[in-house]
Amino acid sequence: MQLNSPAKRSRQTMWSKVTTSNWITYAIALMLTSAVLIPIGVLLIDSLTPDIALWQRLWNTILPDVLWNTVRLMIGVGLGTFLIGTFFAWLISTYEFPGRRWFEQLLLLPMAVPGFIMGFVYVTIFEFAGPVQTALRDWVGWSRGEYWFPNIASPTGLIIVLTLVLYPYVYILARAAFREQAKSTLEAAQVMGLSTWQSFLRVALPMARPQIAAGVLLVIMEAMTDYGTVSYFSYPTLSERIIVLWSTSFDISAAIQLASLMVVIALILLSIERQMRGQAQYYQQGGYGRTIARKRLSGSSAWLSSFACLSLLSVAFILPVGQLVVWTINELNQPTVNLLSDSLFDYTRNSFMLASVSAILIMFLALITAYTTRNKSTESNRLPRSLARLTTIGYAMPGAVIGAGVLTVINPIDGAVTDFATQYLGWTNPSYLLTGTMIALTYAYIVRFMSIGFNSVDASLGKIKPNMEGAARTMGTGGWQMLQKIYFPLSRVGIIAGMILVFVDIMKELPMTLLLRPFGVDTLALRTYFLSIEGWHESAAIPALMIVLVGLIPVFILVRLGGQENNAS
Amino acid sequence: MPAKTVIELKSITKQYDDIVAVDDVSIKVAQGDLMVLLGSSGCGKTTTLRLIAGLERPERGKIVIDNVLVASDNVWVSPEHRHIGMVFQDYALFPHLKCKDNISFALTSQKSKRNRVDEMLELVGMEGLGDRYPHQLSGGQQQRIALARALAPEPSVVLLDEPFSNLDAARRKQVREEVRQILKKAGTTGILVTHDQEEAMSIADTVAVMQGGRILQVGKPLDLYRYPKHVDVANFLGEANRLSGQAMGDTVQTILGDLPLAQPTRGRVETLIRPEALQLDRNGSSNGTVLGVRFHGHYQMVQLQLDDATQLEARVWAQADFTVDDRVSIHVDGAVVAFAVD
Repeated sequence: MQLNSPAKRSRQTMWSKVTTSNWITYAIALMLTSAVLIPIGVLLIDSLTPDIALWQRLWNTILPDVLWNTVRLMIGVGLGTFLIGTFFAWLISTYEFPGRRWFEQLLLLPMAVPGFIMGFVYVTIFEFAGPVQTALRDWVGWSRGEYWFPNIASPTGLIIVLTLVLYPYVYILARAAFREQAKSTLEAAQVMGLSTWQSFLRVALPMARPQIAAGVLLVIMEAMTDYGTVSYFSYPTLSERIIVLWSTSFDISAAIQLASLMVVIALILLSIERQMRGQAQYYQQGGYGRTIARKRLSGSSAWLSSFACLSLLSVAFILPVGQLVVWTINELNQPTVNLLSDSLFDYTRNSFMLASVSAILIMFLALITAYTTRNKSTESNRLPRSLARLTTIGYAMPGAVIGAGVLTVINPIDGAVTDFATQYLGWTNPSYLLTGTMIALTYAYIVRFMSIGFNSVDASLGKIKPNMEGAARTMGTGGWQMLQKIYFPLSRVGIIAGMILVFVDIMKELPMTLLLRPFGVDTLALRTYFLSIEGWHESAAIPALMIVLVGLIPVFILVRLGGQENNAS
Repeated sequence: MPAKTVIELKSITKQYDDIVAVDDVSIKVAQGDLMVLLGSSGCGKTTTLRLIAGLERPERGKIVIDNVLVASDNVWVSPEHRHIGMVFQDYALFPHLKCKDNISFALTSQKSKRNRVDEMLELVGMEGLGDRYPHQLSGGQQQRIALARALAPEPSVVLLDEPFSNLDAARRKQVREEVRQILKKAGTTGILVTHDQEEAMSIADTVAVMQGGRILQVGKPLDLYRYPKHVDVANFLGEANRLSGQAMGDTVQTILGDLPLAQPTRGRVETLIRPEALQLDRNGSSNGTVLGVRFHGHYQMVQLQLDDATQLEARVWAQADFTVDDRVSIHVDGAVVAFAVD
């Protein structure tokens, strides 16, 4: 190959590159991406024109506390998940002990439990009137005020609860990192006289740093965006305040200002995460050697390791889910709230309807975007592709922010439509077209979860090597046939996986549903949340358990994928 | 008996942004012949293949396949209408289809499918393995399925992109010979791309050496080796000693004496002498010293220094026993090739 002057390229060939299909690609990618980005963009523009007086009022009232709470939560949960996730990932990938193969996968289970469910179960178990303290009092004979018991409904309790549900993010990334490290690297360290512990600190940990950091950052973003758990713990954070300001105090302008602040923070965190991910890829290169051979532990250290894994699993999964099962059984035998009669069916149906319709819509849009912008290594594809990648921002945004953004965009449209209907069509008392139906809510789900669908489909399309398309074409296949014979069968798994992930995330979703649901519409997650803050823990257990069971599906998929990786290596 | 030309490229040029990948390439391949495009990585050989297949579109030039113009300034036949078989470097087998379904991918009539699949499996020596999935096969077997898939629709032209690069050295020689037999048996015209000169020499009817997007020389393997027209071709096809000299028509004067020239020329030249053309003798008037000996199994390379400090390498058989500091007399066997020095 040699360099040549660009002038050599004729005008005609440049124009012939922009074909009709390219314009369609542009148009589709642009349309879908802007639909996702507009609600966030509205807030971003808002952050450029801050209302000084409003910020002063916020600063003099809630802002310092809310900011400190948010930061404290992010640091605490980040640190907790880092310690637990990294420690167990190291234990499981370097040592062999009784039950290790089982624990390796079982430690992922807490991912299925949403934070607010874990929170209400723990608070209910350990609060003054809860079973633990009651049993303690009965047993020892203390009464109120005569003894000290850690207050679970405290910031520390909140951090512990969120750590227990979020550590799997760090665990799974750190485990992958340790697994990818070539055995020879650690052997080299040991030959140079380092003990196992020293080689962990000086070789394994630094090598896994990018992945661990990416995991911790993901956790920090989750902690920042959480609404249900912090709200249950009455712990005001930015995310929680946006909802309260919007839906309880009706201080819309203050809510929008806070939301625009969060957009900026989320964008910063997202760009850091991107950078680390890039580094992680760099670090992974050349890691194709034999992976670490696990060192067999014996005697007390072996049993101690098993015990540590079992303790974590019990605290983060067996205990809370077991409690939910017990409450569910009690509730079914002696209903405390008369909700089983008809409403259970209603809100279960609402949840499944919303989640499945949105998931199908999202996967349909994701498939179109991913297919039209898939990597054909032509320069004309670069812009639509990076636009499509931008939709990832949606997932980094707190639900409260997206809810606020969607309302900001939709309310004027909705008002205009309603005015039009009353004035010109003569309708009396029309219900709002978008916010009065599930359209606004579905749109918010798409904004927030589009990136899950896109990434999942895009990854599976990425596995289709460009030469496969070439091979099919030389054998007479083109256009729709290509989609039908090559792309669809090969990306089916990605499409289904993406759909399940989106479905489950919507089942658990709280803040957006709270802000945007049509009047009187409940979902499983909302019911769990409302019943639990009212203290009806036994009736809250039924929808909670259903959410956990649905949430287990993607965890099982994850376990199966992990198993395939093991077989492949 | 001149055979009919099946593939013809006329002044084909392809560029990516500012990089010219294929620069004014013209080649012709006769019916039933196997042409090898030989060159180092990035020389444009794979792009040339993809241009013929229609997977890339040339900026300039014409491509004619089987008397049909498939690409020119105003004609474009898409790959699915060119009826070409192609074997990709990574095989590009469809992982979701069994081998037999991979092979029958391009076949339309249901009836002919089964017969043809069995026929192809037999041709590539994979009878009974049609129900396996690609990932259940070894690299060599996948390669054969890829070949069977390319040949199944009976294309008049088969393109092979580094098809043996994923095989280990021992398997490669065997599969190479098999592929040649299969193509000859089917009477298919083929173009194969490789960077391995030994592979090119052993499999090709004609070799086209490419460099920097251009064709340096086209010819029969032996002719290219013996009579390279370009010093880069000579170097690419094997080790060569270079000696400067003065060409006098049929001979050239060098430090090793007057040597016969393969093609007559005059003026200052650089002569090219293959290591195996150097004859070493310990008897007779010595004109050089042995500097070192490298053992290669069935032959040895002897490093020599002439009395004027020129260094040369000679290839001698395994039985020869030269040692360092031996004084030897060096003769050149046969005619040498010379390139004019500017």
